[in-house]
Amino acid sequence: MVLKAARRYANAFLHFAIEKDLLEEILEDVESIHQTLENSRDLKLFLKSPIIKPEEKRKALESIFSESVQPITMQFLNLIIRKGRQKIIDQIMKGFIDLYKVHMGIIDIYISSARELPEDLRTKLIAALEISTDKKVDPDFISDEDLMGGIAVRIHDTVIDGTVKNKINRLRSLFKEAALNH
Amino acid sequence: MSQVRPDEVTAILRKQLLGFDNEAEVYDVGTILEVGDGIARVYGLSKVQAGELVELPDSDDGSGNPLYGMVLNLEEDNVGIVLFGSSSAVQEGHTVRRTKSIASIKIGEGSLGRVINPLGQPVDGKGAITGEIITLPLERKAPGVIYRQPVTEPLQTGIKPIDSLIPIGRGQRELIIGDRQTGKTAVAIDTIINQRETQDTDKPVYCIYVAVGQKGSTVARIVNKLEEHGAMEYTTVVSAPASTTAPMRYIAPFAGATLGEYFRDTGRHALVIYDDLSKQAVAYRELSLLLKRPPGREAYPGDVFYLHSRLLERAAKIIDNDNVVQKMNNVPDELRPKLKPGGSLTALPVIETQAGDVSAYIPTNVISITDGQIFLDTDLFNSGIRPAIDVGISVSRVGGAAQVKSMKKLSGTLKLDLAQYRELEAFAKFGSDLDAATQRQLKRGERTVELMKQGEFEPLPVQSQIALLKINQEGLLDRLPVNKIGEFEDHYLETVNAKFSKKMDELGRSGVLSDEFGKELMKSANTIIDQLLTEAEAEVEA
Repeated sequence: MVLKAARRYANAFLHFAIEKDLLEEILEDVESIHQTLENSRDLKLFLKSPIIKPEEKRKALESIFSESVQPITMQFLNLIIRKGRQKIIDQIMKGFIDLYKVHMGIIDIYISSARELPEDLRTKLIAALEISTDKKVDPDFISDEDLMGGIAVRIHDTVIDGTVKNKINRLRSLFKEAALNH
Repeated sequence: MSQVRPDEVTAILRKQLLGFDNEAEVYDVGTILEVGDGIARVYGLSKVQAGELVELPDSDDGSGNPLYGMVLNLEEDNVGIVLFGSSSAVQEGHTVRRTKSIASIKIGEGSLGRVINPLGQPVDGKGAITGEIITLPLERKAPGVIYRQPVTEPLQTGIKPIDSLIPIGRGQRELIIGDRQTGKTAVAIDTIINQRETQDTDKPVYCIYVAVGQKGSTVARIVNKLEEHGAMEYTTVVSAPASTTAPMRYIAPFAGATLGEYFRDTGRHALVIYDDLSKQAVAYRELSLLLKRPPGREAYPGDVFYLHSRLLERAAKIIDNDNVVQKMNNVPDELRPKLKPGGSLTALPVIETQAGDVSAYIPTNVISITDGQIFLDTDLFNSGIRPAIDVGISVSRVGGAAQVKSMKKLSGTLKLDLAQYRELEAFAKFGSDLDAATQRQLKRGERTVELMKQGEFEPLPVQSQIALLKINQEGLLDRLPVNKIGEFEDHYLETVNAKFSKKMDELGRSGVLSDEFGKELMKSANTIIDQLLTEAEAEVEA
């Protein structure tokens, strides 16, 4: 879940990027910042620390990112710090990516299976999902041995569950009910 | 539990397997964001309805079943749910699943005689509820005006001051209000016990006792008492003791109302007792504050009035016209084929006041919702007037229409006697200095008050009450010393019930006391009074 405030910043930045026709470049920047933050707990804690002065934070961000990102992205980071929102930088980046996907008509789909799916099955599945949802699909494959077999697909909040684990659970509750009613 | 043969088990399982739908299942999910104090916030569940039951398949309720919750808050980016179990098993990141059904309970004829929790699960260790079972939603809109009719039939409580002065009709909502330890629950339990009388008639009253936030031991004691008096066979106890979570205490009265509605809509009569609604309001306040709803007066949420009004509106007398009833609003599909006209649901909510303060928030709310109140007073209770009903401020706004004929006639003078007595009571200490008329009124009042006393678990059938009130109205008791009234009552009722058993039964059925029978009763009373007076004189001499 992304905070309301983070969504506001992300939305503004997205519209700005579209206006300046820099969407793809900025997306690349945002993704790299998001990735860096996700991979470095220290950096996240540093940004969230109430003891460290904003100016220090600004300087740190500048030395990390100024080489690799567009100047406009750097300005955006500075704006966030000036507004005292350094705590939610990670959320803003996440919000930006989410909104970008909505803008481009891409949906996140989580596909869970007991074992890794072979490549041909993956492409077939994605093609089928793109037809049924009428959107571009950004798949996320998860393998979870607990499922025992079959696959489950999650689109937004809806799960299409064809796993063996789910079937066994349903059978279990069915039997329990039968035992209670007889 | 009965023994199950292995081949039977195999057959049942086979049947279940044959019917098993092997297709992929489609359902909606969300993720727990935060949890604590019996509530959780969930991200996702974007299509969930308010009041919907949700399942938490990753958490266990302690007996191997998944935990359930109910959706109460729908917010912009999260959903607030209340948990029907311990929140300690729930963790951040757990999945929450929609069940697509509004919170409901499974009930049926088999619910009678059982103790259930607010989710309809039996808690008396007597196994599953047997017989035909239907699932009904906990929250249901009350029947509209065209499906109702004014109360016409009396609901006899068996308690003298109530049946005579504050009569209750079937379909009425009468509040029982008073401080702690004033006998509120006793009035309710006596009323349930008195419905034993109706079980042999063609209009039996089924009872539901909802215990909210009481001690587990109190609930057990009440169930024992009901069993002892043979009242449990037509009663269901919905138990949400103080040890259960706030959501359980919050939904318990709704579960009771749903059960009552089942009887009401199938053309029968039911009585539901909510003991007590102040504790339910406290549970609701707890939930609302945890869900961050803004607090109002006494920190109750703004909709605490609606909480009680929508619950009590479900008590109703249903119109006696089959064509109209078939069109009744908000009837669940499972109940529709069973709809019958003429049923009723009477509600006796209980409210506990603090130091007699009826102007607190919850008491004033419920007083204004109900059709009258029975006020129980600590001072009366302590001075030995039990039931401690303050007849001065207790009223019944609609029950008078349902009172039986003779009772109505007798209660008119009774009210007057008591009112005049209360006014003159202050002068009583001047004793013999008062004029004869005043002394007579004081004498009558004193005896009437004494006659209104009644023991616990001893409800009186309406014919006995009429027979007693008749004697008092005729002034026969004025001859007796006050301390002999109780003794007279026992002797008199024993005598007339034995001597005129047929006529008394007839009086109970018709409610009309003929002049002739009235005279016979007075004659018997006079004989007994003479006897008691002689005995008293003999005692004095000895």
